[in-house]
Amino acid sequence: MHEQEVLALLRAGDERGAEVLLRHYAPLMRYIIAPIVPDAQDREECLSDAALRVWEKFGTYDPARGSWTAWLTALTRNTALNRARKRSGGGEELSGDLPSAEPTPEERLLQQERRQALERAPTALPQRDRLLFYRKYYYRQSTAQIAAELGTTERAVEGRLYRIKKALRKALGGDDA
Amino acid sequence: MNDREFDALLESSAPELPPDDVARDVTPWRRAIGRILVGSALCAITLNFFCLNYLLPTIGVILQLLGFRPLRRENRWFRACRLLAVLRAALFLPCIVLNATIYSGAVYASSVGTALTYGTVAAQLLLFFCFWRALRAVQQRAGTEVRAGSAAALLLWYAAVLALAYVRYSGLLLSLAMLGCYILILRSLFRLSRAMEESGYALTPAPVRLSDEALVKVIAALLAVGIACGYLFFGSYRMDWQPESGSLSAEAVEIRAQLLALGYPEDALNDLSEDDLLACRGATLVVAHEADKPMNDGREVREEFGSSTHISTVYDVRELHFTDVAVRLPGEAERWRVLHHFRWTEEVKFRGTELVRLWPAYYENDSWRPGGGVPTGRVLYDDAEGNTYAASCASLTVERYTVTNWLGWTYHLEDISAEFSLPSRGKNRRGYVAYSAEEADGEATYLISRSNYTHQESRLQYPVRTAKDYSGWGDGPVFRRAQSALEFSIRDDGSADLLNYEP
Repeated sequence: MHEQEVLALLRAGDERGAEVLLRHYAPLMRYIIAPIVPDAQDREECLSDAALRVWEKFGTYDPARGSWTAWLTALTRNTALNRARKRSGGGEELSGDLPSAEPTPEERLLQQERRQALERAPTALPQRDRLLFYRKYYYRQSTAQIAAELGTTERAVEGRLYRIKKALRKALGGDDA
Repeated sequence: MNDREFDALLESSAPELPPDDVARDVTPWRRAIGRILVGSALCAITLNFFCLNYLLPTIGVILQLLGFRPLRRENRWFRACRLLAVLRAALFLPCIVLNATIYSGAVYASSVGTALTYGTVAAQLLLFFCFWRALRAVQQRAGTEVRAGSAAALLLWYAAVLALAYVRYSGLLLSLAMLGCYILILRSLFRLSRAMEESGYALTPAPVRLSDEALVKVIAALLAVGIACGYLFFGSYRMDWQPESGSLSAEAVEIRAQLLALGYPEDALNDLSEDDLLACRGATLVVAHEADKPMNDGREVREEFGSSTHISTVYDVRELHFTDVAVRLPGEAERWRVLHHFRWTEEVKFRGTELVRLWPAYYENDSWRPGGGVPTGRVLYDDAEGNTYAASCASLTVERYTVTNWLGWTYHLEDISAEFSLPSRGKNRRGYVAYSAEEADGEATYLISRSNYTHQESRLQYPVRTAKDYSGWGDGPVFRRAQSALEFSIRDDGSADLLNYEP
């Protein structure tokens, strides 16, 4: 089924949408959840949570801000991070309403400044390093997973990540960053 | 800020939404499947120009190897694909090295070559089959709709191509149709790949000990070293050079003196082996012709004649000296021993493979037929001290074939090919090839025997062909040809009238 057809079902609130969502996007959602939630049973529960959130929050999806895959990825990731934090018993819960969460003005300013600085830095990286950065710090993939998917060794991935961090530190103001 | 804190900062400050290109490209599927599809596309088609028939499949085989490697633990079909990709690479890549040697033709013509061809084809067919099943298994595991018809279509298409190749089909219509199908199948496969991206997230690539980059470098280095060794060490024949003792039997010495008295050129006569001298026992007449032929491009000379320009090529150097000799043997019927000698008068710039192909008296002429015995020949050179060394030709063969001309007339032709390599040392490189002819119908009044010399003057060719493999007319970028002929009529009184004209 085409992506647009799935979106149309979700937009219409058609109950088949949830089923279709899981049939088509469960592999992607599991792929996002797996590196963050280590326990297999937890992962399945997290998948259900994420699917429910997608169903509930689909109205906040704005194609102008990013692709469907990016939105689904972000929402699934945040759901997984929240579950992982709950499991470890700490940390601030992330919004499941991505990307339409309404932070306080202070939070918004802080987030904006930090985001601007850190968003600028990865965009300056070469495409290959940028992907590696996101795999590591956004998708929270392990070095082993990254190495296997990129057809390289863990050592090579670690080396590249070290160089990326060095470049980012420099871009963010040297060793103080 | 320490490393751990910096990592935490990077994790916590990541943007809410990943950029679209990142969201699209972070997948375990695209990289592997892209390589498999491109590799399969390159392996399935043959483009016979610019060496693409070797280059593209080589890239294709390596891409298949890289593509299936991380998927080897995914399911049993992908595991089989991986093994078949390794097998195919193991069968195909050595051929790329073999093609850089003069022995490739002999290997391909042997049972080993046949086994290699069938093995490669079978591995590719099985690979396509397993790939089709592997895609279905991935879809089933991911719980998505099962459809991988285009992969099955690729398998059927490849089988059809093999069937056409087997029956040596050369028609344009079906070839165009097959090309059209190939393009449609590829389009469909790439669409399938995109459609399967959702199920592709279910893949778990297996770790590798050697990175893709390192693996490609190792394969490329092995190929480069193998090809370089092929060019350097297997680009010419192994010649068994032995010093000439110069000792001849009393009968051979007597025959040599007789041939000299009949007019056999002395330099050429001194090269004959004892057996070749004995083959001329009882000679009654010698007809000889000498010519110098260029093995260079010469220089262009323009001469103005009024309003017109006459352009001619002048050869300042003629490197190859031919001495063509016919020796009449005793008997009632006409029996001749024909010996075609050659001698390099200049230094040979490149040492590769050489060929002397004789078109004997009975070539296109039914008045003659092969005489007794087999053709003979050898190659010689002198060292700095004047010692002579000789070696047999690497091969000396008689080939018979049938040719039908445009009028529908059929000829049964027979020629003699002597293959050899010149020595890298010494001087006065020379040799000869000899055969016997006898009259077939009692009306032989004319004899023409041609010696065609093909010289390899460059290494720049892939795959490596020997001078004998070179089938083009005239001179090519790698090979150069020269022809000399001995042509005479036999008078009623038994004497011969040389008809050769040298400009």
